[in-house]
Amino acid sequence: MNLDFTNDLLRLAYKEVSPLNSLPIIEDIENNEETKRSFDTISEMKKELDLLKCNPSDASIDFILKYSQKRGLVVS
Amino acid sequence: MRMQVLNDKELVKSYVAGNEFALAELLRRYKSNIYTSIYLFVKNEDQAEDIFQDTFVKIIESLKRGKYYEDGKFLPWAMRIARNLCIDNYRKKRRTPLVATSDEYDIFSILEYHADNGEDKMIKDQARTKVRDLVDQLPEEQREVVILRHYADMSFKEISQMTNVSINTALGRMRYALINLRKMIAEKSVVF
Repeated sequence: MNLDFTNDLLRLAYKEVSPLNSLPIIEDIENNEETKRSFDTISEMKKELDLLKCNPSDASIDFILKYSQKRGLVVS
Repeated sequence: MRMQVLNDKELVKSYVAGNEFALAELLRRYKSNIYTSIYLFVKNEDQAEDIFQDTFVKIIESLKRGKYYEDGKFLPWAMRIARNLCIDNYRKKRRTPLVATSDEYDIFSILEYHADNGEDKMIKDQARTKVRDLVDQLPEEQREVVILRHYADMSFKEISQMTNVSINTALGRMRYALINLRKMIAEKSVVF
């Protein structure tokens, strides 16, 4: 299994390629099996990494909002 | 005015003018990006919560004092603050100065690992634990790029500027990180 891929594919996966510049890359994905497999691998790994996304506690959010309100009162 | 339709620059301007809802919207937009990145840097939930709060305290102070010049690029600016606080946190704990051997240094070389400290409390979801363990096994410079690109949602250009490497180096590190993660999953037959 060839796991390598180009920087262009990586930038496309992370939406860092302009619409104009993305056209030849997309064309390559559609016409080249190996490129398609590489792009699918990147997409698959992105989904795996998404599983790790998490959020701060509500207590932290409350603390920040209250701090901001107090800070605002001090300024005014 | 609905905060959701404003861009970051407009939200910052509105917040500085005294609209607290603008800060709430910035938090809603970026809390996951910033918190997940901090958590992966320090590998400890309690410390991550503290640093997340400290990050926003610094953000609030900077905005209120008119020290924000990023012109709409709120997240990279906030992430620089968060990353610096992660480094400061480690330095305080270790009470040892960082010795840089070159102009660039790696955050992971100075951050501590707390794998067994409250593990059950930190990670409730088994799949998340597995992914985190895989990310932790990456070489340090690759792991940093994964955190900054995937979780902090910074562009490769912004990452290259923050870490003092070329864009191609940042891209290369991300490429190898994904390749290594794929290999680890295949080798360990990790099923999610």
